[in-house]
Amino acid sequence: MKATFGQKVKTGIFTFAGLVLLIGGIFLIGKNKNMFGDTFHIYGTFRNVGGLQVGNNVRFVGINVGTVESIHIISDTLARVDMVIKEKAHPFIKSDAIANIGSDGLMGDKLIIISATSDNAVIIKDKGLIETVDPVDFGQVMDKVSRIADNAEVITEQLAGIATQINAGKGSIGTLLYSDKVAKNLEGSVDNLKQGTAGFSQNMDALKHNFLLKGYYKKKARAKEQQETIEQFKEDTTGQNLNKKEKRKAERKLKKELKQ
Amino acid sequence: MAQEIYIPSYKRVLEEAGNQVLFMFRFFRNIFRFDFEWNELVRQCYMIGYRSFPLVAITGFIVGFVMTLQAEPTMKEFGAESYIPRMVAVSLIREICPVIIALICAGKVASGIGAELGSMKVTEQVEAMEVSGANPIQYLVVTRILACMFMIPLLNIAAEGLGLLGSYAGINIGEHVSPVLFFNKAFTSITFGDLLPSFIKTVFFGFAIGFVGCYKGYNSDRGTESVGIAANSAVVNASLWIIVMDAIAVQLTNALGY
Repeated sequence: MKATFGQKVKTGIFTFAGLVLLIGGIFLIGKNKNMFGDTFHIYGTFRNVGGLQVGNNVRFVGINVGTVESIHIISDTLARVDMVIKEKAHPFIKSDAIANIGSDGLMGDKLIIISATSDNAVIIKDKGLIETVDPVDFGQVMDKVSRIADNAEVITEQLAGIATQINAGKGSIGTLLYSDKVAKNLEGSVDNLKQGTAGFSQNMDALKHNFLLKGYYKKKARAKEQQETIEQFKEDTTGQNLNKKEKRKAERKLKKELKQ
Repeated sequence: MAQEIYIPSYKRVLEEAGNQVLFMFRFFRNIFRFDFEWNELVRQCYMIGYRSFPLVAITGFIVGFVMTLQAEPTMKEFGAESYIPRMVAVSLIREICPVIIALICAGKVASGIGAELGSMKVTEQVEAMEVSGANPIQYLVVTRILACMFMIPLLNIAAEGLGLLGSYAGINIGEHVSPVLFFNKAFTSITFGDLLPSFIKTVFFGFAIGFVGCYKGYNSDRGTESVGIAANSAVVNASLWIIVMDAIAVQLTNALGY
């Protein structure tokens, strides 16, 4: 059976549409990977690329401007990362710009972030070297965190031991908190202190009335009174805004009072 | 009266495998002949490709739509809603569309080819062609298998496109996302390493569908019930071939680093 003209046309349209979709898809993917349009190349060297892969994005001022083209090991401590960047971004990436490896969100893909440092530097050359900062090694961070956790475990264990001993009434703090004997002893000591201070105040009163020390206590009481009068005078004169003459007059009056 | 010879089942399996290999050789030998049936190839492309399109389009659209709706609550829980377009695009293109579309075509196309060739065999049309000097393998088998190899990848591409469209519709039920943002995100995550293995895989799936359908129909027994058996076994075998080939393809793409 021969294919009719209509069947041929429909098949042709269907095939054409399918191929257009395929080519459109390829074009979109290629565009995202910077395969079409003007581009330039730069490279950087890192001690540790931290899981960066070919095809990961390169970001400049928060905009995806390129992709990682290739990653090669160039020595036992260095890896070279080649990047392909859109030509549109070329005038803004200077020779002193710094590339570091970051992450797109907490769980996102790795990417290269290019940061500008100054406006004065010259524009980076095609196939030029860009300065780099090595990424934070997650393994090292985890190592530190695990050491902190180990220390915390030791500390909490020791604290738990201390708390158990205190609860059991062992040691000075435990005895202090849980022993009745100590509390009774303390109570007794406080009673003794009370009695002692009462006796002492009686003795002091007796001393004040003794003829040998009577004069001393009187002198002390007078000095106290004089001090209070001076302070009262100072307060009065500062509040009244007196001139020099009035101040001298008031001082003389005060001296008279003090002599009396 | 001749006594029926008992053949053990493993020998039957080997015989079947041998017959399939021989049939495959006959197919490849007949591809590069001068008197190629271009007209019949176009007609088969129309029957297999164009006429399967509505079924494939609806399936692709709904698969994308449903995947998005199913993934949305879980992704929301993790605060990763923005990853839905990427997730759906990669899943559809790498695995779901090629396999689902191939299985659907195995059901529609392989059974159709099996039944068609089976009934031609039963009504001795194949023998009539041989007697008249026409090459039945050239006319019936090569055109159908090649049509499947050309059309299944195109149907798959169409299903993937419509699947993404379905996913976009699914996302826009809950909230508004602009088409530019959606397709930009979807295509950012897809690489040639996703698209090309998927495309190549569907060419092989197309071969499996066409080959199994033709083999089962061409080698059906005489008798009307054998037409049904041919159609049925064509679907079952083609589906099995697709799943096995998919497992091999995954291993291959992983080994090649795609």
